[in-house]
Amino acid sequence: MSDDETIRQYLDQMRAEAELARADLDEIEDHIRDLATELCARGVAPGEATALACRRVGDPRQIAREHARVRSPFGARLSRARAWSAALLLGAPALYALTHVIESPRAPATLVASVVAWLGVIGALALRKRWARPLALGFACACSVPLVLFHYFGVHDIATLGAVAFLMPWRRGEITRAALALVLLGVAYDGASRGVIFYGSYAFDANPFGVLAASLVIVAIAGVVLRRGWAIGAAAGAAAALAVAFQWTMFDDWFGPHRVGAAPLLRFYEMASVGIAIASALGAAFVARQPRVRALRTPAA
Amino acid sequence: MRQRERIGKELVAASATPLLLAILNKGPSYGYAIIQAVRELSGGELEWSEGMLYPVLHRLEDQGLIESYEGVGETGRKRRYYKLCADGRRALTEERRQWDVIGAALDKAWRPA
Repeated sequence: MSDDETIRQYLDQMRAEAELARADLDEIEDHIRDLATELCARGVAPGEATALACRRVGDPRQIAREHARVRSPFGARLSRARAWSAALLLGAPALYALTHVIESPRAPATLVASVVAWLGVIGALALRKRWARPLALGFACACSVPLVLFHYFGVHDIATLGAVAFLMPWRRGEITRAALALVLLGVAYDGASRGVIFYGSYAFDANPFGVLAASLVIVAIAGVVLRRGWAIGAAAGAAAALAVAFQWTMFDDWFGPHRVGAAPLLRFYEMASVGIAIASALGAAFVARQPRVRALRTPAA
Repeated sequence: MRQRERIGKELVAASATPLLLAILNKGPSYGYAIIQAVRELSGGELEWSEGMLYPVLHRLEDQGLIESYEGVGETGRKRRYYKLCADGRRALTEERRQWDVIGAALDKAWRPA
């Protein structure tokens, strides 16, 4: 067995045991290679040095568990400055949206609930909960699309873009698979709320499937955060609900008589945002399958 | 002659943070080199395992005492280096004060009456 193969097997065993960021696995790989080089220099046959180095480093599952104890499955914790800056930038417009929604007489309770849930996420971000970061990142990224697309510099779009800068994993390999699922669900949530409920139908007596989709996205998010298997079903259900919601509003709102004058780019954006939301929800269902790590979530030492 | 016992687990764990901070205070380093530095500093008495080192490094990073960055090692492979932050320097000063207290107390206690 080649050296690369030996190391790959070792890292695969680690990966099977716990959700670890690529950068953490690279660090272990680098360590094994250094140790193998040292063993070679001390006279161990080159073919055996890597295997021996792996044994020296120890049981990969044990190492993975030690890592998981300090590293959350959702990646590294943000610094206080970054977390609070991002929470402030996202929180102000979200609070504004909440007052707006509550004052609107025809706002469905589910819509209010979803804005409240979003404020909860922002609160968790301020408390530096690790799952809140990828979620907020996905949402903020999706919110930034119109800014880029339309060069529309509204105050809260600029705030959102600022939040993206604070939340972005700037280093390679910083994000885990579970975190990626949350980023995608953040995007899906934005698509569900923006494309279908908030804007797609201007009145708040909206599309029941849009409301269902947004609710299912929230359920899926809860599932991923709690590391439960049903998260996958909820994400897939959200994708299906989004697709139906898209069908529902498409003819009425997007191609109906009152939208004829709407700019083609805006219509394209509205459709694309639902398309992206469906793809994100499906993607989240795909990456969320991560069965094991739950048992490992022992509190940090 | 009876073989000397290895240094106890608790003592190794307790001294891990100050040792790490002190090593990184001399300049940025990476996991493998840190284990070697600990071995040298202790004259071979302290043998840190990988399973212990990396979690401690990541915890200190989490607490904002140290910071990691990606660099390229002498072998040409990319490598994760750690360096001390301002908070880490403050923590080191405090650790040092506390260990000095313990060292001085033990010293006095061991002196013949």
